[in-house]
Amino acid sequence: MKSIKASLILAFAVCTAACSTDPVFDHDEPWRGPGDWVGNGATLTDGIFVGGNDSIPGARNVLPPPSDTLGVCDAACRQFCESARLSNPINLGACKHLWGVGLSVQTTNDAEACKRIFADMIGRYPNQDELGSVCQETTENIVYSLLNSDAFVSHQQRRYSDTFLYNTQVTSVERIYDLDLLVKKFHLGLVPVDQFAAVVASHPGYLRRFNSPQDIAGAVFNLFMGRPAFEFEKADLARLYHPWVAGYVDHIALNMRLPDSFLHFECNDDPTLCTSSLFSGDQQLDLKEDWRAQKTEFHGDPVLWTGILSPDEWHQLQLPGRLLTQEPVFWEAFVDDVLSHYFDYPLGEVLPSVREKLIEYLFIHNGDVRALHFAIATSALYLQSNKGLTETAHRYTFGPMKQAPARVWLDTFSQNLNSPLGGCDHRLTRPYDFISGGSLSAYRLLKNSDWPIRDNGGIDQRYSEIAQSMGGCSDNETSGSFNIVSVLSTSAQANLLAEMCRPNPDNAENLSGWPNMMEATDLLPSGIEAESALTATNARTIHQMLSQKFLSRSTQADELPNVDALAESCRGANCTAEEFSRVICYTHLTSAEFLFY
Amino acid sequence: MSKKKKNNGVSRRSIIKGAIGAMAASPFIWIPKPTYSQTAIRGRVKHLIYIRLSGGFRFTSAFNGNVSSSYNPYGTARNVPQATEWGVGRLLGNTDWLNQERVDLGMKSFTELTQNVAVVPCVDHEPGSANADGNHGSALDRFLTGQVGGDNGFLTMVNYGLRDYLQNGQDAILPAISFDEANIGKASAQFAAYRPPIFRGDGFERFSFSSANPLPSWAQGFDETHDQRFTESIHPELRFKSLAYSQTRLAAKKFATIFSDPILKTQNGSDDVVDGLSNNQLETMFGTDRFQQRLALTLRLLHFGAPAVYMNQGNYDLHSNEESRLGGVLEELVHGLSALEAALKMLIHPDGGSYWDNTLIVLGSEFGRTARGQEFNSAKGSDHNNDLATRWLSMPMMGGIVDQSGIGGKQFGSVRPSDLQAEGKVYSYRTILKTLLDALGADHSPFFLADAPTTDFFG
Repeated sequence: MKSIKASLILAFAVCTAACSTDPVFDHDEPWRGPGDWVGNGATLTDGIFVGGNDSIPGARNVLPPPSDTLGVCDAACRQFCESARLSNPINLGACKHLWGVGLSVQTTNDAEACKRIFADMIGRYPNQDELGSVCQETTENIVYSLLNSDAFVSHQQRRYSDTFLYNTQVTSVERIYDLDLLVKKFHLGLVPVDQFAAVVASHPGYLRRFNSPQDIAGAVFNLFMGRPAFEFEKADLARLYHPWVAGYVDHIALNMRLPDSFLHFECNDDPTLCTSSLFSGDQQLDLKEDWRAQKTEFHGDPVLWTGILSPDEWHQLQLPGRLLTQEPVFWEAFVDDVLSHYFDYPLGEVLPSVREKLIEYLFIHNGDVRALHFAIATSALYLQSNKGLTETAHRYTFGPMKQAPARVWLDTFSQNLNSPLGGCDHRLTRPYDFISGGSLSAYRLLKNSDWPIRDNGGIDQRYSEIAQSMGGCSDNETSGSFNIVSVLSTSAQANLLAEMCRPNPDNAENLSGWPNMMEATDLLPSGIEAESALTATNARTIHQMLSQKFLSRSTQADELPNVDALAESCRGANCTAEEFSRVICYTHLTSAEFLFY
Repeated sequence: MSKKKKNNGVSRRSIIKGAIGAMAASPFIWIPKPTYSQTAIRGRVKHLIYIRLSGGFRFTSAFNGNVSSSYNPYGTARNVPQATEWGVGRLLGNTDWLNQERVDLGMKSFTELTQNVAVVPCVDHEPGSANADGNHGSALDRFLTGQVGGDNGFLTMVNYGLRDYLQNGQDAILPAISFDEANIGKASAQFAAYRPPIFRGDGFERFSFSSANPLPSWAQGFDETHDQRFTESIHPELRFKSLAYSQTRLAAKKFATIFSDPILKTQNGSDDVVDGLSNNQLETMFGTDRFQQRLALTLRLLHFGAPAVYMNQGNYDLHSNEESRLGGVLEELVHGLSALEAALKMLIHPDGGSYWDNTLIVLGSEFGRTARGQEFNSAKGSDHNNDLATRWLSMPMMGGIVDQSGIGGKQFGSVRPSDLQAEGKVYSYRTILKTLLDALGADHSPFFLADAPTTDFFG
């Protein structure tokens, strides 16, 4: 299919008034662009990574450094770390600032670790079944299990949609799908980090958002180097983006005018315009104009639509990204970005030695990004508990605690409902545009997406509206998803949960339209009837089940007095087992413990 | 159903009275009054309704219509009042929505209202820059934050600037709220506490439970016990996160009465009159489309003190078929503006006068649109690039303060009809945003230090 599509694309290369796409459009494979041309071979590694089961050393018996210093790792400290036989790069990099100088990590329990790994790797907390199965495995096996799941890849695709700010009003939907395909291949271990960056840095799905070569250079530099470019860097890099111009393509099948990128050929007359000298010496783009370049209504001189480029031409255009990946800063920034997904503080900046070891580790694994995720998720620093007290306030001596993003929050409790709450699709951020065009292909594309379609053909946006109130399902017009705690988002969450759990029979009215109210059977362990009078034993059993179901943990001993007291109050009010369970449902799901992990 | 008068809106005057009472009981302490570069109307606008014409709007087709046909292929409206200086586009004259029932409620064609609308035809992306900012992302960033990559959204600035008003400690007062773009609520760490709520949806129908009292009597306080236990269990350095959430939950309970108030269920068909109009009457005036429902809901949010409400209208990114589709999208806009004018004039404000007297409505967009010197592009639409047609935003304003300042129908600046060269003054987004902050009486001292509010419009 791919070769047929490619040959048709190359054959159909004439731009008329505006460029028009070829009539071939497959709503199952709607991508068009350089992402389709890469990562079509074998995986970069066999998917087996080292460092997943280090024995964590105790702190060396010395006085730990004060909270505001890293401490000095002397010869004894270095010897201590070398003899610790650590193989996880984070543990290795951290040792000289942690165990070696007399600090220790906060050990965690399995449930806390499993919940965190699930949320960060696949975008939801573990359910009750998983708590009793996958979460009972070793950490290494849990991470492998998730790393090899479709859910891991799709969670990373959603994460990158916020980075690249997919928006079908700003860039072509075909390019967005292609970039999304590239992200998928990247997280399947088919594309190495440097190639990924090179393709992204010249991908119309990202570049079309920006106005001029200088804007593009500034954005790409910031994206991959972790800081804004200085003017001289931007000006030099912009030379390699000199041919890029914005335009539009009339998509026949979608009946839409799509914003897309074109190339002009001024550099054929003056090659210095497309020559960079700041990165790795003189580097020149060498694009030749041919019969495919046409005048359009947007461009006075002939331009070439990037939708009909060959793999060799793409390779040429990917020069700026390749140059950036030659810089050590690129690798540091990349590692920091992945770390920021797992930690709530900039670990790479706090402990540069961790960053350094992670870069080495990435190289050893041929740039396979899965190795990085594996190393982080199995590291002692990540797996620490965020509970309890520590001797000093060094941030890396206790675990991360993050607010669950809107979709993690929604998807976690949605998995406990009889019918799902719905969803949104990060690739089609303006779904109604794919209905208003009146095209069957556009509608099929929408129908093939994660947007739930109502029986009347409209889009069910109830999930996305709640998610958007909480900062998720972003339309990416100017920025991606974010986390917020506000009176309105908190009230919206509380109202939704009150509808779902019905904790108060005097305060119950279903206006959501979702037939998702939790049934008594969802909230009660088998053997406890909904109408049965509550007993102290049953109360504990119910609390245990709902704690596992919603909070991914068992009831803890210090909670029991409160549970017993609540059960006592319930019995005093002659309430039933179901009524008790509904209160626990509401209090668990509205709790800070559910919101933070 | 009997009609009853209900007015539990929040009055800034009552807050000031309370403050004066408190001062009388306290020893006199001289505190230097902060000074702001300010307009003559500082603090006279109590509410702002800020509407973005979404996707980039061809202003020359509507609010800057006295230009050549290549910029305004639709022509200009007829029967425009003499007092209207600015070029009223023909498409603004649509009255298909104006039935007798609406006329009886005081609604007029938008053409009649143009003499109450002041227009700033040349608001620029970045005065002094070589070109327009023709891409959605950065242009919208300017519109929402005042600059590309701005740290703080406009509504964050409003909530910060009015923090004393919003946190008076007595009544719950709604802050500025956005129905759409989250970036208008962007905030740097220093201003994070002032991020506005983002409310998606078009009504508070979902808020059917009182979250002030979600649990049965026998379970009261159990949720707080649960959170307290969790907070105490986590590392002290991290507790601020959980504490902030607990505080927000408490605040949400304070707001629960507002959120579950039936007047916010604007689609409930109620005949109960609040501030002078029932929800049923609002529905008659506005209709049931999402934009109109949001406008009706906005009026009720103002009742609870909201100083600003932001929303999108339409999708004007009409690269194709603008010729056939623009009229329909504009019809929705002029209908909504007419209903707003009539309703605001009927609604009684707790500070005296009508809501119209205390409210300013401002329209804008991320950029204008171009067909590169033609009437339309090849797809009968319009695009955006780096030319003047893209560059100039026309910002129309209406409301009591426009009437009181005697600037209705006027325009501030102008363009040459043949090529859109500016012939008058050009304003930056930042100047406009700062002027709006000043009109609201907000402390704008931390924002846009190089731009002062303009005194050109209101003195």
